[in-house]
Amino acid sequence: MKPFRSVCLFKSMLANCYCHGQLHSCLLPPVAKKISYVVGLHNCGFWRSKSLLDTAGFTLSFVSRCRKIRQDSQALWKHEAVQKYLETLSKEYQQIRHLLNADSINDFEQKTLRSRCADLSPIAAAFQEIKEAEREVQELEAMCRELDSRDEKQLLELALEEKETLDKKFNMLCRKLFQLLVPKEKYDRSPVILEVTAGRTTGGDICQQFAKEMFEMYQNYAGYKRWTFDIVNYTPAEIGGLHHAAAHISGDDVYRHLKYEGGTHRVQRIPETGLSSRMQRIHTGTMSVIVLPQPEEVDVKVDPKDLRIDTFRAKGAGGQHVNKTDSAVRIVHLPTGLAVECQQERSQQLNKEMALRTLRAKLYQQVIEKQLSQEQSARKLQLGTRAQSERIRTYNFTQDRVTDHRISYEARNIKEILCGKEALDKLINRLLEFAEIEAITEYLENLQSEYTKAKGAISGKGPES
Amino acid sequence: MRCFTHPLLRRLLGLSAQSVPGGLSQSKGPICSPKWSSLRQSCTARPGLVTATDAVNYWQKVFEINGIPEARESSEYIVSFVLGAKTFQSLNSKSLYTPLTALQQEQIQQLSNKRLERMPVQYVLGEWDFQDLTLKMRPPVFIPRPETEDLVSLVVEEESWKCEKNSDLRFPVSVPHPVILEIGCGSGAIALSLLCKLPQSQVIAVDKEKTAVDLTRENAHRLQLQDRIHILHHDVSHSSAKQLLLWGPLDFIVSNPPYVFHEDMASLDAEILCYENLDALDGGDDGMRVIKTILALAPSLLKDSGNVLWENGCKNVPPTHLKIAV
Repeated sequence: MKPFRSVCLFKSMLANCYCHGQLHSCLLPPVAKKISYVVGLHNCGFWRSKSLLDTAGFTLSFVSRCRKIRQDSQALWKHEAVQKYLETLSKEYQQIRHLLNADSINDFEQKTLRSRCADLSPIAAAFQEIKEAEREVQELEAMCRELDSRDEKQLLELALEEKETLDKKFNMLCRKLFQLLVPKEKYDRSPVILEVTAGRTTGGDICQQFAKEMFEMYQNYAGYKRWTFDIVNYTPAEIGGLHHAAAHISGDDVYRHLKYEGGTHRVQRIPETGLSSRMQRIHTGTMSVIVLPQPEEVDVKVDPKDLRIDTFRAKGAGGQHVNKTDSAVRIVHLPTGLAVECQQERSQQLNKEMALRTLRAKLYQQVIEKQLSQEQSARKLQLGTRAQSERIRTYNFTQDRVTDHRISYEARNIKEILCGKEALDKLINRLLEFAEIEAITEYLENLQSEYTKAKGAISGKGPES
Repeated sequence: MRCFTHPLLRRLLGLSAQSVPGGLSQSKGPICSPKWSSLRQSCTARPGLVTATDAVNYWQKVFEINGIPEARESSEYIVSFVLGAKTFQSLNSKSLYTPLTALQQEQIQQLSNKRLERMPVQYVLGEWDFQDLTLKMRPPVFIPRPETEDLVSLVVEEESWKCEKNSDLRFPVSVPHPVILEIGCGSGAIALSLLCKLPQSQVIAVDKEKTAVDLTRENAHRLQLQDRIHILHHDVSHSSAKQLLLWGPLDFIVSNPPYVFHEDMASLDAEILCYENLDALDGGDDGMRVIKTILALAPSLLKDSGNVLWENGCKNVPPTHLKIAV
């Protein structure tokens, strides 16, 4: 095979990948050069490109990530445990359909069966679709092998193009299957509270300026995604820039997109002109982002018995006997020890209502944070809660580069990213894909261990390693 | 109308010889506050400039020296009021450290001097809040107490329960427009709150004091509720109840009648004794002088499903709210 063709095929293979979108052009030439050199040496076919990459042993993380992505989404499909599981579900679906059509069951059973049927039907459909697509791909692969052996170049090209399309479809179906099978993250669809806080520096306003730019970036991103962005708190810093701010963002899947933004963001830049070259060293600053889901349907139940409400009235007399203007209210939630005070209003009733609202919000945050920190176990992509604030991303202005350390991903054109539109969306989607892979892997591991246990139990042997 | 005007007792309490509330006393006044100039010198922030925080701290000290109760709260409310806010805590950090203008300092001084006369803060500011309403306050009209906010909530709850029950009936009686009578409306706190919380309701508010009737009318106009309230200068103990039926039989009678035992009156704070109308407080020997009249009247005024709701209390115990079906 000529080097040029293999480069084209390589390009199409990468484009075919789970990660949709184009490669950054700066990454491709060195990769392509390497590929063409190696291909020139090996003369491999298209379907062995996977091993090509193996033998070439690239350490370019993005490419290896690409390979893993394609592997994993198809790995889900090919996994024995998943196959068995899908077959069981499919059979169950057929049974339920049969029962419902036979019409021999009572109302209550019908209701449960119907809802189970609704749950299973997309999975069963996806199962059929993938089996179909896999068969087509296999047929085409066989055809390609034959054409290649007969050296029918033109037909081979057409066949390969067809295979390309099919592979894309196959990957998409695998991904769809994944979305159906792997349990959804609990709060993905919720609105959020996004808080930004400038870090501390020894001098200058680099942290505060950076915090301001980041808050604006998220504001623009919310606009780009057609979410609402309500500023709840905006505290400028005395030296300029932003000290801390918070916003309530709601719309479609807000938490799902923003949840990996939580953590410490670092900035590196050379300050404005006007300084001597000695002063122009790179300044570093940080700011932290916290993203907390605010699902509307969760209502923290607060039992009045758990509350101790302190007002001036508690000390005996009241009513007509006394004219006091102290309207402060303090509520203590006895089980957790959480205390809230309010003195915003002159009316005691209003202060009490406000304090209760704040108490509920704080209790709720405690509950959510606890749940979040328990869920994220061994994953690389952690949710940045208040408890942990890892450095997740560096924005280097001097080198015009944004690096996300968790997925070792680099993007160019900081200005574009700070605009909060397509460039940021792309970065966030990379994170989401990475997270999905981790979710698949975890799911597979769990399923595998359950499957092995079940098998072991049936056959009487212990689980095989 | 009675105010505690016995000159001897007023002097004992350290007040001026004037009995008319609202008057500024210059001569035999309380221990005078050091001049503003020395305050300026003592300011830590910037010399020559007084911030809101400085003013609060200063006047708190002055009130304490003069034995004024709630020294901190009083100075905070006065300074916040001059800055256009309701409470000190609601001021943002910028306002707290911005220097006060000469006019603002003058206003604070004038208001604080009134407070030095033991005038209740609500009269000093001329306004106060009741639930989410801001009402004008004027001596000697009784100042609404925070507990009475709960009485209003109770009426609203009762009304919504009635509505629910009504909608469950096979032939629902349409009760969309509750008619409420308040006896002893004072500043109009209960009446106007109910009008706001029950948008379909109508209220008849009566008081035997002309000053109260005028103040309620003023507050009703300020809140644009004058079309739904009928305010009568009427003494339930002495006048015929017929005019109270101008909108037909009532769904509710509400009241915060005087319930202080007569023997406990003398132990009330100077703020109350010298400035508020004592007839709004004195409930006679058993503290039930007025409520007895109301309960006697109720059967002839209420619908079958009607209720009387009122506040009652004794010394040293938080007041309670009571309901009777007649």
